[in-house]
Parts: sequence; structure tokens; C-alpha cells
Amino acid sequence: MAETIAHTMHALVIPTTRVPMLVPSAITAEIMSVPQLKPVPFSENWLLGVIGWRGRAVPVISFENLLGDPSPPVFHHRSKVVIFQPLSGLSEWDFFGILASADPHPYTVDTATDLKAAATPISSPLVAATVTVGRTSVVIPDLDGIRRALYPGR
Amino acid sequence: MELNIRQYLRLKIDETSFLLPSTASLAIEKREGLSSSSDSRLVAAWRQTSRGRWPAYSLDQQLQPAPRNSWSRAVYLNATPNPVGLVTDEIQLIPTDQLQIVPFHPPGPAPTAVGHIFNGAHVTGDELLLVLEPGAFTAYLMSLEG
Repeated sequence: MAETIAHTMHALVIPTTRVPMLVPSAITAEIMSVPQLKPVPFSENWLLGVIGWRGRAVPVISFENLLGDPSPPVFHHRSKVVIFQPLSGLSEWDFFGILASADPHPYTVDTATDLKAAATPISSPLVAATVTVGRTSVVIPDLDGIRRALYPGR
Repeated sequence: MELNIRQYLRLKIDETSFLLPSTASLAIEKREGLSSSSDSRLVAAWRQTSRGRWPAYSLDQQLQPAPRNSWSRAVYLNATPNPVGLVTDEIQLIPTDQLQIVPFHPPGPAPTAVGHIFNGAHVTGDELLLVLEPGAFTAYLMSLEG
């Protein structure tokens, strides 16, 4: 008798102003209200600033600006910062944050879940796939692509 | 990051502050001891020496060249052929044991050929101060000479 093995992954849908993200919960460390962002001179428009978090200096980025959207991000009282674990190959202190337009919500991906490819996928080295969650189109980020964009040469 | 730094200079510039390892500072001069600059748009003052004059630049809180009148001192960093300086509103010497310095790698491409302008941060409570990397910051100041 064939045995069905269920694979499930706990994920988060991170709402942003224009391009929601779907990421494994395991790569996130904390969700917090937006603290005061210290500007970093000479930074790209996608680096919104740096915050102190658990005694570390953590850069906060706009994923949409990183994708090339020139519009400045919108901050409001529901905005959050999602702190991500250091990406593979980086130093253990290289946490980073991504601006969310509201609280992320949990989403369980399992074998029975039908993550359909979105009708209008986003083509970018920072995007592994564009899929639909419910009726919403979300992007699954390419973490290696993000690492290369954030830390070229490392 | 240099590990044996015993003191940092807190440089107040245009309502914000940065830290600089004190070992990077060649000299600190009061405004009264410097010559005013009228022949350069970017240089705020000069230090006259027997081996030539050293420029001190005026920067805003984004470290972009900007004329300002509220400065009181200039800090000079060693460079070749001449030291280069930065005018500041205030300079405070802080022992390292009163700071919480952690590594910080700014994301994105480095703005100088030597690397990023910052390589650390002081983080405590709500306060966060970026630490200037002397080599890259000196290279940046020298690039202003054009």
C-alpha cells in the first residue's frame, strides 16, 4: 500500500505596498514595529536605514526598491520590519530587515497546496518564482540573488 | 575593524554624529587656528603648515559637501601628499569601554575604491552611531579635491 508523506512548510506572507513576498518562517527572526531608522550615507535608495536590534546594527531594506521600483516606500502606523536571519555565506551578525506594509500572516505550504504560477510573473534575479496565494500574487525571493544584491563580492 | 582602539572621537556634524577611531586622527584644530577659505567652494578652512596647507571640508549629515557656518573644530586624517580634514560642530573623546561597538557591513556597492565608509556601529538602547572606516573615509575626503 502506497504511503503518502506529507511535506509541510510554515511560511509567512509579507505584505508590501506593491509586491507581497512568501518566505519560509524559519528564515525570519522577528517582526517588529518600525523603529527609528538611522540613515546610512552613500547608500542605495533601497537601504532605508539601520536600526539597533538585540545589540546589533541591522540594515532595513525596501524589497520593492531593491527590485528597481523608484517610488519611495510608504510608512504608516501598520508598517512593520521583518528581521531576517543572516543569509547563507554571510557573517553571523549580518541580520537584515525588510519593510512590510502590515503584519505578515502565516501560511502553510504542503503537498496538497496548489501554489499556482502567477499569470504575470516578475522577472528578476531577486525572484525565484511568482505564485498565487489565494487570489493574491506573491513572489518567492531568490535568497542567493538577494545576497548578491546586498553584498556584491561576498 | 581595528581591535585595539582605546578611544573614539564622536564627531558632531550637522545635527548627527559619527564615530572615528582616535588612532585615525592626526590633529584636531580649533577654528581660530585655521585660515578661512575663499578660493574653494568645498574647503571650509585650511591649516597652514611649513609643508603646505591642509584642507578641511565641510559636509552635511549625509557626508555630502555642503557649506556650513556652525562648525568649531576640524579633525585631520593622515593622507598623502597632505593630510585632509573635516570640520565639525563638536568633538568628544569617548573611551572604548563606554561604547558598544559591533561590526556593521553596509549593504550595497562600496562608494570608494578602498571600500565602505563604515565598518561598525555603536548600538545601545535607542542610540546608534556609525563608525567611520578611516582608510575609506580618507579616500573619500581626498576624492573631493577633484
